[in-house]
Amino acid sequence: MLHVKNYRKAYHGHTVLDVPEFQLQPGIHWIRGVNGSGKSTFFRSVAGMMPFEGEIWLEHTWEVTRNPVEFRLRVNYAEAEPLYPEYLSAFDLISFVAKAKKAPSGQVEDLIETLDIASFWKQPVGTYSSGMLKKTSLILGFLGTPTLIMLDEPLITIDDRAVANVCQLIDRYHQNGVQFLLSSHQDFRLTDLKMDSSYIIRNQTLEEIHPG
Amino acid sequence: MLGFGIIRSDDHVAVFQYAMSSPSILLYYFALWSLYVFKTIAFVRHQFHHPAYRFLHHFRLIPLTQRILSWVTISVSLVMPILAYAFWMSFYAVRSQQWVAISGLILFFAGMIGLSLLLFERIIRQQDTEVKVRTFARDWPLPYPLFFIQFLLRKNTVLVLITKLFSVAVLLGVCLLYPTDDYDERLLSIGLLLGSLIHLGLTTEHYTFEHEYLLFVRNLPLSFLRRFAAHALQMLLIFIPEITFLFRYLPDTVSYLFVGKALVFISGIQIAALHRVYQHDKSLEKLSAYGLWGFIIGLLLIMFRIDPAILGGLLWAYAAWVNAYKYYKSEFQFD
Repeated sequence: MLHVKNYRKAYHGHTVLDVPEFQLQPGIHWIRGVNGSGKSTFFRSVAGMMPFEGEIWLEHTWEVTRNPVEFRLRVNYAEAEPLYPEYLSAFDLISFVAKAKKAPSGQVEDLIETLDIASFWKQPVGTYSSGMLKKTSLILGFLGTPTLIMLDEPLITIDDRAVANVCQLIDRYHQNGVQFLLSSHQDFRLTDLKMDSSYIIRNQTLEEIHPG
Repeated sequence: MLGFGIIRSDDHVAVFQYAMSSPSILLYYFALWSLYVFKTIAFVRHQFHHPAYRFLHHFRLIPLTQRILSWVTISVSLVMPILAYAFWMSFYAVRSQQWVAISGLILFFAGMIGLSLLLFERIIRQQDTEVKVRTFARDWPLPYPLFFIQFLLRKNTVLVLITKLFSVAVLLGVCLLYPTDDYDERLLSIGLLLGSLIHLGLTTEHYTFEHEYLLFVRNLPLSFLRRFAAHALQMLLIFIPEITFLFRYLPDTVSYLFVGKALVFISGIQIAALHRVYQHDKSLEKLSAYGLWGFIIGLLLIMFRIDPAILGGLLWAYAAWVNAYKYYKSEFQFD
């Protein structure tokens, strides 16, 4: 489903991540790694938000650099700690992203209800708590009809009810054919989500963790 | 100060000696320097309000005397370019025993540093001002091209005001100067060039705003046409004041077609500067140097009668090329 070839990312000439070959099969996958290991860097690269060396293919058809529009239509990403202009509202952001990602009719309303943001979504982002901000970021990550959704630390800063709703949302989207790549320091085994595989970023590369 | 590095030092001396012998002329210097001081205050305010620098508000816990000393140091450091220039002026004033001018200079700087100090204190006392809720068209989402325009108007009001004041003043100056002698459109083009280069401060804000607050946009499936159209619209909106003034004060002998050319030219400089930084992110630190070289090269091209519409068209073409092929290569790396 996702194929990474000869990936290398460096900051100021210092390599932070080097992944010669990585194939991700359909499913819900968990990426772990200590702070600063490069999880967000990897996610941002796959989302097409930062330049890197190498190739990233989706379904052997769309490459992030060669097919920028088609690839981004199918790969979504929700930031761990989003930063938005404080005078904009979730309404402004969601409306813009929903249009760009060609969200199906009724999807925005459904997500707003599931993550319970109707009471504040027309208020400026500058008045939001970290949980409200996180919910906004998660909604942006689910918009459109993506093939792959990457959620960076999806369970932090949100309340227990929202955690349960996010897990149900992931499960529902997955049943409809959407694949997931999640990163979290929290143990997904404590939730109802069933992980198909786990990976860890260490020694500046990505390795699969085999059970047992 | 305007001609710093461009006009000869002897000319600087001649102009400021004349100004010091007639204190009313000195007021023009003070007016220009005040703009600079307000710009430095706006810079400090901007830093204190940036989410990444919230920790700076702990500065309020430092004892008042120590804090005042720090503010004075910060203020003096920030106004150092004009302060050094004033010292140079004073050197000549002492020799000529122009005590009124010297007193004026001392009072001006004491006043400006005092004002900075008061405003800095106000900034740290009013840290989290509540974000204003949009009162108009609340049921309509803000269109994407206006995200940056709102940012400028809400977060960089002083910078925008100073930039606009300056560029409109330059344009107005050349429009009024035009009928007084046998000038041609090149004079207006030089005014446009200066007025647009002054906007490079806004270019820096544009680039950092996009990379800090709108990084998610790079994950959106926006075609080249949609990306470039949004940028183009932003550029056209930014230059509404200049174009309005040009329409109003365009010399009678100049065709209104020139206004169209002017828009292509000034917005071309802006959009090309922004895309130069996309193409080479480290250029962000060199924008002022580009401004100086841009002025020299632009001046030469104008003097050789290259039409501003052609110059603007070439700059737009360069920006379009970068947007089509290099946009996603851009990455803001903090040093």
